[in-house]
Amino acid sequence: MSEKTTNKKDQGVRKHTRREVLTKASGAAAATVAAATIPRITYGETKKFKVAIILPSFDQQRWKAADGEYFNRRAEELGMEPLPLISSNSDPILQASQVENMLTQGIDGLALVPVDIDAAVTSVRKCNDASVPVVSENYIIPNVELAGIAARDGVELGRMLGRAASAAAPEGNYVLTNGDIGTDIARLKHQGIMEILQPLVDSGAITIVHDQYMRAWSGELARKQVEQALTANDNNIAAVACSWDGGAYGVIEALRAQGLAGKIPVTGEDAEPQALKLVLAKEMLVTAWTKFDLMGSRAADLLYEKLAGLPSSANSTYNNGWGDVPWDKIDIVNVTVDGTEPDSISVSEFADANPWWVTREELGI
Amino acid sequence: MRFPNLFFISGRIPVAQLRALTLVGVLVGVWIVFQVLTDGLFLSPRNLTTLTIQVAITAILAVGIVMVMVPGHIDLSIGSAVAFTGVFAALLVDPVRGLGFTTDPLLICAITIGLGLLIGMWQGFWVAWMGVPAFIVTLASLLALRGAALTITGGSTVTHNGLLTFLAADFISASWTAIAMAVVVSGYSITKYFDWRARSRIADPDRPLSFFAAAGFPVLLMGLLAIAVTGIAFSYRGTPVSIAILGAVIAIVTFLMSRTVFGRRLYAIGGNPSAAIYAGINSKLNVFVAFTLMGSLYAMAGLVLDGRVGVAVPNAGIALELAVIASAVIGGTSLFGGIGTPLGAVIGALLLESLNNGMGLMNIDTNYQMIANGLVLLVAVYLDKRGRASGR
Repeated sequence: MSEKTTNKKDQGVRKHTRREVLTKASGAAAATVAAATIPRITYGETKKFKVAIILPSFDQQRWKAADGEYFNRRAEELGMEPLPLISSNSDPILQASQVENMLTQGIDGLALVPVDIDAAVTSVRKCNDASVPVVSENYIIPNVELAGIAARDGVELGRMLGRAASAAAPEGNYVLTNGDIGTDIARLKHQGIMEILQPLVDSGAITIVHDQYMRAWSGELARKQVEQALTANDNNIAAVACSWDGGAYGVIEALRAQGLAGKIPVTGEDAEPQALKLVLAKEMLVTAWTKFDLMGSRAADLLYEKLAGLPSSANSTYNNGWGDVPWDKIDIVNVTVDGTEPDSISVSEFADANPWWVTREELGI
Repeated sequence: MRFPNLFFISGRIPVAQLRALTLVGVLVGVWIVFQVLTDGLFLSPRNLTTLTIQVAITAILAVGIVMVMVPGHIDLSIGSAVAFTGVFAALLVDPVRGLGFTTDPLLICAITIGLGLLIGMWQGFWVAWMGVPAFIVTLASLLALRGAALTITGGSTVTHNGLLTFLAADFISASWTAIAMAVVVSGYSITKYFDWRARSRIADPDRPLSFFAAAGFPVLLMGLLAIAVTGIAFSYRGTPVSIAILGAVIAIVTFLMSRTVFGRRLYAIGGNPSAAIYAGINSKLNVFVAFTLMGSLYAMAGLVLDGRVGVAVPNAGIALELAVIASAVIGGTSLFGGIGTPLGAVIGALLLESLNNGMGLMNIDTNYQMIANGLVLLVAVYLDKRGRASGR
């Protein structure tokens, strides 16, 4: 616990360094550059825009430490007045009433991470009726007017994992370990992985022997799937394209039990410290990372641009069924052991760029 | 129903025994179907070993919940309690997110089991002495312990640096398995022999108790099981540690439930709570003890789960309680109390896990596995209800 406080202190000191390193680390950080060019006007003596971000839960480290923290930080930099972070405890009904309460408090703009994208539509309509613009963060809320979208491209994320896996194992039997089928992102990642793998399946280079979704993103179920896949194929597996770190832990334990850890490439996403350790130990091939801190600060940027009547700095647009919405696609990067593959950085580069997430000491490097 | 006196005590099949045999029959049927569908993979020593490791967590908890359900209570807190004890164990190790307190696996296990006992006592206290329905007490824990697990970890994964992996990955050698099985079978035979002696003394002289039915047949079954376990151990890698733990839990809880005053009282409380009180049974104390013992099993399951996944995840075990309750009910435990055996619950768990394992080998979508589990639960409870209505 004491480590956390130290981290907080470090953040203040290294704030600017971190951004510089981040820009350096990934060549294509156009969004970051764009963010830096926005004039930091404050409204001076006039009214400050009161804004808030509603997070779906605090279940994952990212929500509070990255998305929420960096939204509020950027909002302050832009001269807005952010409200304290709140979480909807993964409950769409609670989230709906939280939005109503926000409107009662008289906010000027809202960044919403929907618990359920369809359930959030009604809440966004209420905001629009009250002339409060809404930025959809992390997910895309459909069929309703939005001021902007700050989200990763889930399909692209899948493609990145698919590319990494197929480069490491160009032929053989593949196991696909997917997240909870009830979540949009699990299906999008699967779609992206398949976009890369399908041509290889068609050419006969690879065979997908197992392809399953794990309810509640359970690592234990992922382990069971791979145990079954290994038994059914007499350990003849070339790669496990797993789409999240929590699943990869179970997968790797199943491989260890057969003495195969490190011999079969395994992918993951989230760059959790434990996953980074497994990457260093070469038991895991890659863990993909979305710049969640950037996602939070870009949500604040998009909201500010809408409120201040400035042109949007988003790097693309998306038709969500209502119309074209500015979409800032948040960069994704693969973290690998030495970072030599395309679109990838090494674990140490990653740790240096994201000290608020993990430190070199924690990883023992 | 009258049968030759060769097999069954007093010529009439005891309902519990009949039900257990039916369930074993269904299990064997499922196994044969999968054996055919998977071209002989399902019953290979390797897959049987994997299957038993996979069922260990649910089965340990299913044994425990019998102690809670027999006196007429329920436990909804299982998934959250397992996740909480699991992350607690890892926090003892993790130097960054946790305490970095110890690296002795046995000490970690002991402390975690202590925590499990405390959780059990807390729930037992509210159910037994404060009179809050177990449904509510454990529902409160389901929420609170999940929240606590997320709070103490900050929502992130915690590592135990592989210290607990031995619980899921290590094996006890085949020779030790053979020795342990020999001890188990001899112990079982001796108790069954004394059982037969004691019961023949009070049996109706016109309908003498068959030695084969009372002692020989159960010992034969146990012997066959022991041979199977030893055979699998010799042809694959030995006995998994998690299965040794499960075996010990089954043995201890079965002993408590069937051979001690404590167990008899739990059945009495569940069978007729008022009669139990008038008979002078301290139901509050017995229920409290049952919940407390269940608490230690949360910890054991949490530790094995940590070993299985290699890390501790605060979101682990979601809806695990439902699989555990389903296993116990399929295994013949009544939701209204008074009826149920630990072994039945284990067989129930094995049936559900066999469906998942077999369908997994065939790469059938996990969604269909859930549908199959649901249907099996429904049919099992219907057959159980019908069986009991006609049996009495």
